[in-house]
Amino acid sequence: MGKVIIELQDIVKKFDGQVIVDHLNLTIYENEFLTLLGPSGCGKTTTLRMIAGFEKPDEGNVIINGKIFNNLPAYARPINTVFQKYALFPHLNVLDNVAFGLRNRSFKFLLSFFNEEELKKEIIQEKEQKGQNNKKITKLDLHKKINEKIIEEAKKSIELVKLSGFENRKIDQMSGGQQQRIALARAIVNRPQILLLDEPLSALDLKLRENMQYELKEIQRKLGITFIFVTHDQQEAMTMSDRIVVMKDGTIQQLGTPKNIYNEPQNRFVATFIGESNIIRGTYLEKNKISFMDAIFDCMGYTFNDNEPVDVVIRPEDFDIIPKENAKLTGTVTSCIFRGVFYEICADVHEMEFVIHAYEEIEVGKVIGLNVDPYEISLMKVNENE
Amino acid sequence: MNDSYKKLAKPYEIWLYIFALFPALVMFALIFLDTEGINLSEASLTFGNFSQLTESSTIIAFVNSLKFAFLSTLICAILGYFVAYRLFRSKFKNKFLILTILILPMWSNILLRIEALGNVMQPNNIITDILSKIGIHIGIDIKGTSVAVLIGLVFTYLPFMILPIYTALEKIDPSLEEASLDLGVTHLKTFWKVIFPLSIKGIVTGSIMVFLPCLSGFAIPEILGSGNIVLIGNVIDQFFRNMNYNIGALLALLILILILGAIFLVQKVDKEGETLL
Ligand SMILES: Nc1ncnc2c1ncn2[C@@H]1O[C@H](COP(=O)(O)OP(=O)(O)OP(=O)(O)O)[C@@H](O)[C@H]1O
Ligand SMILES: [Mg+2]
Repeated sequence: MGKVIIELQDIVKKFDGQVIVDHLNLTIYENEFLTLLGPSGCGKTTTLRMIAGFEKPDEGNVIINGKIFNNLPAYARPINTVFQKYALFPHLNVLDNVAFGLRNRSFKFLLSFFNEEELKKEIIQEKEQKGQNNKKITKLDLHKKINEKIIEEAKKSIELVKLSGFENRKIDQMSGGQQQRIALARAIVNRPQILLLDEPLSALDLKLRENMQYELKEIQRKLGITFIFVTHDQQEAMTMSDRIVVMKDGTIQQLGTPKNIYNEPQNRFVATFIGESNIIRGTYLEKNKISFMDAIFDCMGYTFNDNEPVDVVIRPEDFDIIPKENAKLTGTVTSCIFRGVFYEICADVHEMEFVIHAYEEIEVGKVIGLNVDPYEISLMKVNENE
Repeated sequence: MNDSYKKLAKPYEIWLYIFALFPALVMFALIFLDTEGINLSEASLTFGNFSQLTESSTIIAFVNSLKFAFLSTLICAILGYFVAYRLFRSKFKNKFLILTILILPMWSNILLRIEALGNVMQPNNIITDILSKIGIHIGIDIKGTSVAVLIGLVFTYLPFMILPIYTALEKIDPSLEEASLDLGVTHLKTFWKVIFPLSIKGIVTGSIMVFLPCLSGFAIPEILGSGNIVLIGNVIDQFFRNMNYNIGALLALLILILILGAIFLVQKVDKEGETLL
């Protein structure tokens, strides 16, 4: 992992006495694509707003680039946001919206943003082309050049989100999905160190959304920006993130790579929120031996106390359907639904409903045998509160 | 359903026909007539009334009106914006109460208010009396000056400016301001680039609501100007008092056309009538 860029230290945020974010600790690295994933109202937006500087944490510290940022106003942070509700300026057209961030910055900032030396080189080149002998660069020359550059950058950014040709449209003449992409362009154009994205793809149709997911990932890689991405959509989180933070009620349930979170959920909430799961109560007999549903299975990679009760998680696609004669588990099929690539089968196994994904249709009422490979079995500590 | 609601508007429609449209038509007819008072029996057709438009007294009064209306609108716009903005920014829970307090004077009779204001503008009024009892001897004597008229106009019409500006400000999505700050733009610049442009609607609506009564009113200049300041409203008033309804109607219609033009302008700027509450 690279350098630490953001550190959230023991953050607590309350609204009207109600705890919304509860002792949150999180370290985010440079160049990382981190996703906050969780059900509605779990505090994702609130967490982003504290990083952006729109809310102050009641306790704890927001540390960015090693400095405590708690009291730094939003405009002074090297962060841009794509807002959940777009927040585009209705009195400006598309181009002016995208250029807004650069246009209203100080001259000094813009000089370093566009690299003063390069600007001067370009100005001199242009003067030579025009055959002007006067090589002196005035402030006016620089201002003009910067304005040109801003428009150029804004247009590039608009192209990036595939909205070229819409530069002069008014905001209210754009569709929801287009507005969302403008919001994206408006943030990216500033080349922030950190980009916060609050469900930036929620208004797009599937095709465009998949395209944009790919584009976003590309942008992130190309520009080297740290992305903090919020979504409800676990599929989206899985495909895009380097790491995922699963949140619930303002606390982190699990933090890890998409694979890690999918294959080794740490509790029932994560197991059911990310993908579908069959969760069965079992007993950890000894190393690599687990018993559930009156049978003993091999497992790997987990350590608990001998004879400790555990929760066993098996994903629907991890079951193999085998003849019932040589199976440790058998069940009666209660339904079989075609889902496109696979069939979703519900089976009654030991009076528990299992969900199984299979590639062949199986008729309802048939008794099937189930097998599961040792590495497909994940175990979680039992938490009585859930 | 819709139809029965339309029927509810009927009485008002009839009211408008009788008391607004019909008199307006009569006024229009009067322009081209020479009548003795409102007695139509000895009326004769004439275009002579129009010569009044080029009389210097009319022009001076008209220019005066424009001047006063323009100045008071400007002052109201600046003061009104400050008040509306302050209220908009305040963390006060019950902003509606504050607004009501601001509007409250509008519910008392305008003549009473103006007379009272005129009284304070003269020496030896109730306030100087009270102040002198505790040893402070100040007093102003500005009644009859343009300043007095201007103060009266601003004092009377300021609420009409505050309300639409405040409404326009309240309608600005707070996330726009956050977006601007997020893009690295400071608070002051955010005001000029986001808040102010989005509240211009309110200023335009408010300006017209102040400008028009200032332009056509006659009570305030008459009372506070002590007759020294003659606006077009006073001229019209004079003609009607002298039973010269023809010229009175002509000048009044001129003002009416200005008002219609202004309403048209408001509709252009504020299509949905958002700022009109
Ligand atoms: N300004 C506020 N005042 C009071 N309560 C708030 C405020 N902002 C958020 N909340 C509450 O905090 C909780 C978390 O809100 P937040 O917006 O962070 O959720 P979220 O995870 O982003 O949800 P969603 O996925 O629906 O956007 C909610 O219960 C919400 O009602
Ligand atoms: Mg949210």
